[in-house]
Amino acid sequence: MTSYDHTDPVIFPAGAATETSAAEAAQGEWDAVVVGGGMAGSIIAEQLGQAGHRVLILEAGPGKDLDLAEYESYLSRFYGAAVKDNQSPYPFNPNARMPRSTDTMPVRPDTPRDAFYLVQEDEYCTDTTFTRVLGGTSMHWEGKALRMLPEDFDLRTKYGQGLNWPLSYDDLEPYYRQAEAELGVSAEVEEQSYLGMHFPEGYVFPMHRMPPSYLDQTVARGVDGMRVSLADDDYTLRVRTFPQARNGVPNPAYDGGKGFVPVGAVSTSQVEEGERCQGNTNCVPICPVQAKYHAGKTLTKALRKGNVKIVTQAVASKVEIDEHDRRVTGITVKHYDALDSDRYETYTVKGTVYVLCAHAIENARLMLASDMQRMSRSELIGCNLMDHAYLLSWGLLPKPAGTMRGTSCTSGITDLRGGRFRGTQAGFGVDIHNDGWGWATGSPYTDLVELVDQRGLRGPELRRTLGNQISRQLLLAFMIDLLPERSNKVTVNERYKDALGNLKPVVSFKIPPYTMRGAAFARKLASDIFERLGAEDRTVYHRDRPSAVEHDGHWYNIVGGNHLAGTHIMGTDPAKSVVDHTQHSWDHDNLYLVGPGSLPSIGTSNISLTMAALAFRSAGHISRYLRAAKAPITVRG
Amino acid sequence: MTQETSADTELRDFVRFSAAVTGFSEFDLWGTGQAEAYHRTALEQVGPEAVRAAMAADPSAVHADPVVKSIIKLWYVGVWYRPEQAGRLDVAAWTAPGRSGAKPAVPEGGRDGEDGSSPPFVVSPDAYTEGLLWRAIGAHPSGAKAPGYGSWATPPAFEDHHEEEVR
Ligand SMILES: Cc1cc2nc3c(=O)[nH]c(=O)nc-3n(C[C@H](O)[C@H](O)[C@H](O)COP(=O)(O)OP(=O)(O)OC[C@H]3O[C@@H](n4cnc5c(N)ncnc54)[C@H](O)[C@@H]3O)c2cc1C
Ligand code: SF4
Repeated sequence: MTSYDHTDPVIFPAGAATETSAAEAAQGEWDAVVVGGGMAGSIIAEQLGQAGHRVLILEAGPGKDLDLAEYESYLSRFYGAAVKDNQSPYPFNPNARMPRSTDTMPVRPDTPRDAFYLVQEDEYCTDTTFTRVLGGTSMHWEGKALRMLPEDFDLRTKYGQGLNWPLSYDDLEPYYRQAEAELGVSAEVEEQSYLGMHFPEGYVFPMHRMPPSYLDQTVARGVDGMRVSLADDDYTLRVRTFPQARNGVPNPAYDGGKGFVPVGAVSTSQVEEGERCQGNTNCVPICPVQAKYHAGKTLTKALRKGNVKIVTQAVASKVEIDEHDRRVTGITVKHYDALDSDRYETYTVKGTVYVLCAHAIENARLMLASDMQRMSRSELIGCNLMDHAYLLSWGLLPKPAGTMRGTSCTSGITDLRGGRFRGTQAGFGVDIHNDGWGWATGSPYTDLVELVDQRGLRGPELRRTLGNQISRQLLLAFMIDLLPERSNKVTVNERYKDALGNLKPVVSFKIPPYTMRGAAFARKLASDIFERLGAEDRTVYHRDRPSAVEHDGHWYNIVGGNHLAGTHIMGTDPAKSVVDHTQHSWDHDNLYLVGPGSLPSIGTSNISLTMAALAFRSAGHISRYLRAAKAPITVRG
Repeated sequence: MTQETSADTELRDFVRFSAAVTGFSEFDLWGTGQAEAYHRTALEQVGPEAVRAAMAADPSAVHADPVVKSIIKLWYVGVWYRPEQAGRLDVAAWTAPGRSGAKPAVPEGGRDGEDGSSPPFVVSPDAYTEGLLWRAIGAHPSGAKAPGYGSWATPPAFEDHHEEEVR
């Protein structure tokens, strides 16, 4: 018997996403109004609901129910879509659009107005995305769940770069554990104790690590023990698995021997499927069996308790502010009838406290569209936009290595995430991609076109060559740190509006030289690794793509990391940050901004686990705020 | 006893021809459950004359009839690429699942074929999961027919396919 046999299925309550109408929601006075039903919003709602507060979630996207029908429609839309980008499982929704990587292009005066959502007017454009459906971007995230390094929290003090956090690794450590339980993380403590990351005595992750793929093992044979010298220091590399928010084998030693019960699929007819990861290499864009964590799992818990209600198809369009005391007085919502109609009604919902969890770009967009920069002491709303810069390198291994099996990525090289070299160039993590060259070239479909159309292969030879060629593909993705820069930012502009008349986000994002020095080093390292593996380097960069960046006379393509952060950074000084260490707005007493936007730096860890830990921490503070506000003795003046 | 109609014969011929050009057995091809849908797609897209001409051509020629290429790709990934799109790596990249570093910008309108040209399309959701490509590469379609927990840790095993299997 595994602990899966004991799983008490956690099922999304039928009708919960539609039972509260926007009109009803606008009549009530809520303790907390949460904007966004993604990972951050679900955690906040679940925690506040648990503490006895009445919570309303406003969700821009559709999400009738996270039941089988809805989830399966996402899957079948994905299977049937000709253009299979990240967003292809989701219906096109003009009322709450999302960026599609296939829309990435510099917007010029003659670009059709509806061809894009994220407005980018610069030569360099990022193809980064986020998702606006119930469950948010976690519906299609990859699920890597790394902690940040202790040194990431005081980069400025240590290496004279970036910004310090108002918190330390140790301050956040208990919340990391809470987030690891919520997301269901699979990893081993021994393997993750590197570069200063530490865990309390006796801690184990909820589940054992994902087995490294055969491809990982192949790369490890060449890489383990490889020495690299960088800024007078020597580093020894090894291949290490990544902590993953997906169901594996529960660790019986978890929680002092109590073990861990994984959460499976939250939709009614899919319970028997939501078990452990099946390895269909499809984590991005959608996990067919819900082995991967998505916010629907937390949302389900929240809605089952009854204190939490949700309204979908409700686009928060304006934060209403009292000019006098600068408190938020309500959120104005445009509630649309259907995806294919631009008919909507406007409501204002009211609560004691307001929590914006619409993700980095949307939180900033909403505040800027509400003219809140005017009241910001730092004037940093929308500034310091960050995302990991990805540099791809790809090669052909001498022998089949089983590429195209397993989760998108099981292991990588993480030894260059930290070190003194960060005084001059960016650190990075390296992902070994189990899904081959797809991200870089469009493989395996492009291989098919090449072999059939260009080389004229037929019959058994075609079949054999395809198998051989694809099973030998190795793609290394370098995920490079990018520091906060004021000029990397989200703004709004009256010229660009969506179907509901909401302003679209305008993004200006350039890859700084510090990051490019890391990229140039990464490129050299990739060549060395390929050489050790006997792999033929097949990397080519294109100058004519919107992702092209020049550094030291060479061109690179830097693709988006989808780790959007930093548009309302936290700090200790209201003149230099937007929120404090609890994600409480410096400028508006009853407003919290929760999500990756609060991160003052992103280091080299995929941001969501840290964001989730911060959300748990903030939930406690918001709950205290609410208790104080509700206490009868409180006199507000 | 059953009356073989000319439509049946045509379908059989189509599958026999497809087996020769794809490298999979007729048995495999019938097993996908897609034979009729693919035959119909080819007929609708280029017309019976063109399909007949493609099947009569020497399938091994490098510069074969582009319709032959469309038919092979249809079996491999379930996508109908128009014969004029033969060799277009950018078109192939849009249709590949997953992240999109290589995907050229395709405005909403371009995807919908509003520019007058018909874009490539997936014949049906099943066509995607039944694609022969996944079997050829010893894998499984992204997102379906999962091979099971931990299966990725072992060396790859390609399905045993001998030349004689293909007739
Ligand atoms: C392809 C991809 C892969 C990724 N892989 C990883 C990974 O491996 N590891 C990792 O740590 N992170 C990963 N991420 C990033 C991760 O998904 C995000 O960091 C995370 O989902 C952010 O959570 P959030 O709750 O802040 O925002 P979201 O999950 O985006 O949720 C925001 C919610 O707000 C709603 N909303 C937006 N605007 C409004 C509005 N105006 N009114 C009402 N509601 C609104 C949205 O519909 C959505 O439901 C990945 C992202 C992508 C795209
Ligand atoms: S590999 Fe497959 S089963 Fe596992 S998490 Fe990814 S999509 Fe889900």
